[in-house]
Amino acid sequence: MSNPATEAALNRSGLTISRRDDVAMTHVALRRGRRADLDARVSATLGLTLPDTSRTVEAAGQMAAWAGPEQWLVIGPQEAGTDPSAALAKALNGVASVVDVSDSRVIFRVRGASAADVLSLSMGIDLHDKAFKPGDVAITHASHLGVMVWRHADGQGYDFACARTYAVDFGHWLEDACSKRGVFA
Amino acid sequence: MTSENQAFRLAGRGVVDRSKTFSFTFDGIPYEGFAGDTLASALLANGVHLVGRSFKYHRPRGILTSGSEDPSALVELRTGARREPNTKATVTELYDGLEATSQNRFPSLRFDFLAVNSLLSPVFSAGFYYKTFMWPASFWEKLYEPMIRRAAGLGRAAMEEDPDSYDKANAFCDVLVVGSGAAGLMAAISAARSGARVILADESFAFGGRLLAENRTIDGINSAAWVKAAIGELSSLSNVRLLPRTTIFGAYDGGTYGAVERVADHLVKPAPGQPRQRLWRIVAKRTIVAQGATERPIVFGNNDRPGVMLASAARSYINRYGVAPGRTAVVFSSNDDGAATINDLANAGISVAALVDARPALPDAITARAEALGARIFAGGVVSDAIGGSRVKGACIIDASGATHTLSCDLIIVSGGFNPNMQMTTHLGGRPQWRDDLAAFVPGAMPKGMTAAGAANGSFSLASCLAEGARAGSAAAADVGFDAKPIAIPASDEESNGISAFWHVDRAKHKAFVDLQNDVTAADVALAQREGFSAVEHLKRYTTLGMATDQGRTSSVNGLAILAQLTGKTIPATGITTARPPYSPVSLGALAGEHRGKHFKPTRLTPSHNWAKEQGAVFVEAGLWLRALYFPKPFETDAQTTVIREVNGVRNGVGVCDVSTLGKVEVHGPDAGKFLDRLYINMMSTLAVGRARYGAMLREDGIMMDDGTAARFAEDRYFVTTTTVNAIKVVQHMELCKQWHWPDLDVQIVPSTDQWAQYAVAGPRARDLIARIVDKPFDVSNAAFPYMAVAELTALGGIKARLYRLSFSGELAYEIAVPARHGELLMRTLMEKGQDLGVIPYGTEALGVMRIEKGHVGGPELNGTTTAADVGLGKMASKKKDYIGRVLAERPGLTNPDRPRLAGFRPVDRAARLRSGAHFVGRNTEPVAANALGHMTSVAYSPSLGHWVGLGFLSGAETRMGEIIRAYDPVRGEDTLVEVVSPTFYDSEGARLRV
Amino acid sequence: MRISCPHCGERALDEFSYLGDASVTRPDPAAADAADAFYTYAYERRNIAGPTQELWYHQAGCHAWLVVTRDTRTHEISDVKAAQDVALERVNSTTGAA
Repeated sequence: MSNPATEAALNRSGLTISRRDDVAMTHVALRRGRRADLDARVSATLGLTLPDTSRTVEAAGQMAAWAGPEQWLVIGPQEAGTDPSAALAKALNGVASVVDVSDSRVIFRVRGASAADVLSLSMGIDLHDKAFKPGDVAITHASHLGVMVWRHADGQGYDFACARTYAVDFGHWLEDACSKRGVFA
Repeated sequence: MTSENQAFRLAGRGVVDRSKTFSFTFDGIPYEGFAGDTLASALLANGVHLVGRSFKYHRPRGILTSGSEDPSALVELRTGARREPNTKATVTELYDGLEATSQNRFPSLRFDFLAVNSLLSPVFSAGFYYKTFMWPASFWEKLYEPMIRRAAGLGRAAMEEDPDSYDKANAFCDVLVVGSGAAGLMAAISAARSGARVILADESFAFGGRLLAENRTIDGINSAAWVKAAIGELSSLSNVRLLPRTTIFGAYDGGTYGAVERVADHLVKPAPGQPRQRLWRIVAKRTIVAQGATERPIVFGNNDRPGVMLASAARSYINRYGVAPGRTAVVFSSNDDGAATINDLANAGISVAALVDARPALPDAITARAEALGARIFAGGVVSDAIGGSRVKGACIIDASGATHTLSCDLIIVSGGFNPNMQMTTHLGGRPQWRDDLAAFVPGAMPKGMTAAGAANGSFSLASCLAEGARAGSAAAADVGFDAKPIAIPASDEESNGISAFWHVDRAKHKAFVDLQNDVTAADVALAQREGFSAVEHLKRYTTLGMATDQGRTSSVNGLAILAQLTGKTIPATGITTARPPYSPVSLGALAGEHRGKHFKPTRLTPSHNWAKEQGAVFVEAGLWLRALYFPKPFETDAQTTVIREVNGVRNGVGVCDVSTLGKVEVHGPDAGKFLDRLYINMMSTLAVGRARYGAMLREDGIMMDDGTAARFAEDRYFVTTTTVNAIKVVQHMELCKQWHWPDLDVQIVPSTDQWAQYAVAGPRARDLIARIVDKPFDVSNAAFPYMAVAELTALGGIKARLYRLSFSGELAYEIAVPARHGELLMRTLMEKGQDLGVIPYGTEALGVMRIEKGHVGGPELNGTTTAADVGLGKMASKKKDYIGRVLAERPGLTNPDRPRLAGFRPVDRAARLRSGAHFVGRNTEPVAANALGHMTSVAYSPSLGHWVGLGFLSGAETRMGEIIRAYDPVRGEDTLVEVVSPTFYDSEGARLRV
Repeated sequence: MRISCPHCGERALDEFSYLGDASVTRPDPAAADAADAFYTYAYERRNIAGPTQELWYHQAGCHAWLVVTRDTRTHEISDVKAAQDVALERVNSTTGAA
């Protein structure tokens, strides 16, 4: 936390913010006309069906998030001595372009019963239960920083993936938004 | 209950909280008021009417209204850094410890030296800015401007930085209800009961609007009590957000509304972490404008004297705040609503000296009531002038027969009818419509999704407000898919709303003000009309009528009605000026939000930023990035010394520079090569796997867009770099080419700037150092990994890495990249393992010096006006293919041999310094624009050569090699002889980088 | 102003950046009149009071280029399509005709 006052305010808001550093992220972009092949191979490799709309899907510790038309972000654990992106690149060779983006972004996790109420004020997109359901993902910006956000399956929190080089600024903004809104919203 | 110091507080009236007494000061004098007061009501409770001096004439001014439309009750609030000028006392929520000061007075409010301006009024008449101060011109700066600044204007802004924070928030709703009077409350309730997401906003700290200000009965209970119950219901619903103290100030496209919430303006200072104000962006599917109506004054002589008050305001002070605005009143009206104020006055124990109504006949009920109160009745009469200076002492009345009567009073209550508050309905271009029966403009065609209800829609009676609000609320909810059932309309007591249009008493003896804020009189309107400014928009600009903080809400319609009379046109034919956002003033702090100071823009930090900071690097902003400019040693006192050491360190040993900020893009797919061929001027499809190539790209108009390198890691995998500042632009351009120009190409673009931490390792010892970093058995020898080779490998014991044999410095050099999280480790390891090689870190300044020595073009050369040929890359352009910008780059103007082309420049006197921006002229030519041959773009002191070197653009550069010309710098007063040379000053054969 | 991105849904104006007229397409660089055609393509624009087709880029979102039909008098947006779909249709129809 940046300072004790922010921490205290955050505690009162009942929200927790953590940073997920232990993840591998892979960008998967469809090659022209290979959707059926891609689906088959992704299903065989990850046990997932890639979503066509702004949703996330999860299976066996792996998550695939829609990341733009015909593009997805596959997120899974980063274990020592493994290279999930390289493995995926091999599996999807010829049907998708696969790029390791594990270090491109930093994921911040916000959890707490009031997360939706508090963050809805800070985001330019509508986070209301009816508009942004568990499993929904959006590519948007928060304050003036680009961010990809998805809502946890239990509806009690969000992950924010922001560009790594903006992470310090984004972390401050997130703390500030959560602490300020938690107390004064 | 009336405390001694609140002599005008009425017992048992109003909704203020008498258990909470607040102390405050006005011009240093202590007073008391109650929670729930405004500053204006608390001042009136203490008998204070004189609160300020006017803009031009410094006339004493008082409290005309009880709302945000007030043109004259402007004060400075707070002191020091929190001082806020032009705050309306009529909406300032009272708090304990409030400090307010009158403004625009000198030396004191009661005795104002500049009130003499009133005597100079011919000077300050309509258009005075344009007439008086035109001649002689030299007087403007020395005399006129300082004089105007002293004499005119409103309050003073704080001189210190604002210590408070401001917040920005977003909200989405099905139905936005603006205003919480009878119509607004009914709209909110009927929409909310259907389950729609409702936001109800009101500019006041208390919901209820006029229901708090009028002594009315709804469903058998007092209107203020009814409000309490309605708000109780709304606040219990989770689908409703109540925003008190929130002004919806503007309507924007797509159902977007701007609002400012005064979160902590009612506190001495905000709590720690609490914003003072919050700027809301509200996106609403449907909006109901229920902002009520604003009463308009009647224009008569001295109608600006403290003690002249709108009828609706007097009722607010009596009924909402429990304050008597005077002891003896004369009521001057043109309508039933205004005339009926005699009831409220009587209930408050204020004696009614006279009821003056411009209409020849009054409703019987009103006449009977006035008679019962012992008031004199002047049907068909007018108040021609107020008597008194800093407070009304009497009224001069002309009766229907033309006879004049003078009555004593301390209050003149005035009502010229109501203007619906429909500004929001016109923000997107809607035009209001005139209704003769109301003598008012009402909303015309409204933007999609917006409706108006109640008084804002010209429905002035309480019964119609309640009914129309309920209908509008359920219609809005039903419109967006909710099952909204009609709700019961509460019963209300009866009223009459007759009006006859009456604007202006033309028999006034004294100045009759149309616009109190800008000191515009009826005579000024007439003068403007005589001088030809007879269109409303011209009238507004010539006289300033309707401008400033009140946005003409009490003056615009009166002004155009007077203009209509003068021109003999109808009011609708005369037209109305366009209302634009904001509805009432919004502070700059709220608009800026948290984006101020260092947070104005985001800051990007490279992966090894902390390491550079530890080394004491001096940073520079490059786009949004912070980059290390140079790394001073403790004993180095100036930047030049440091930079020279860094350049020499690289040229003679090895240096490391953080180049992570370069834009990086993965370009994959079977058609990636073909795609890049169309983007770059040179061929990329022929690039061998494992090699990199320098490339340049143009805009479609033939001008250079960016340069960088493309590396090919596999048949279908390229990795390209862009300049730091153009990274986002280039990706956008690539996406346009892929999606719009050539959608049939199978290519995928993945921006990867943040993925890689990348370092240039340059100098004769670079290979020795790199060999210690990459994992075995990778061979870094020149034979195995020659100039322009690239490879994917591992480094630092198993970390993924990419190695590029690229050189910007002109030395043997590599760029090595690792995933960003390992960037700091790589930097530290390079420094550690290179210690015995004399490794040094170098910054962008040394990088820049070396690129100038090598004649590489940078930002100053790729400046949006230069072609590939201009910057010396003409030969690189492929003739075998099409690419973006090719056709237009061949236009005659861009291929003209006289165009300034890139060249190098060195001072004839080797000790002389060069300046970028200096103009080139022939050695024996006059240094005038007509003789200019080009200009210097980049200069540096070259440690390698021991003198200054420069790059620049020179007309006919190729034919002028060796020529001596002048580099003329009129800004710095320098004139230097320079020799035209090749732009490559250092190692022109490139021998050093291929070893 | 709000634009409904066909991929992301309705978003505020500040997520998008504007390029210009979507009714013009890059001319054939091999054509005999290429120089004139490119000049017209790069510089000549009509200033229409009414519905126009414009290229917008969802910069802060999915990076899709969009063809937005907007009435310049009212800012009303009547249609938004993915530029790639419009372009593919154009390319296919040209190929079909040839």
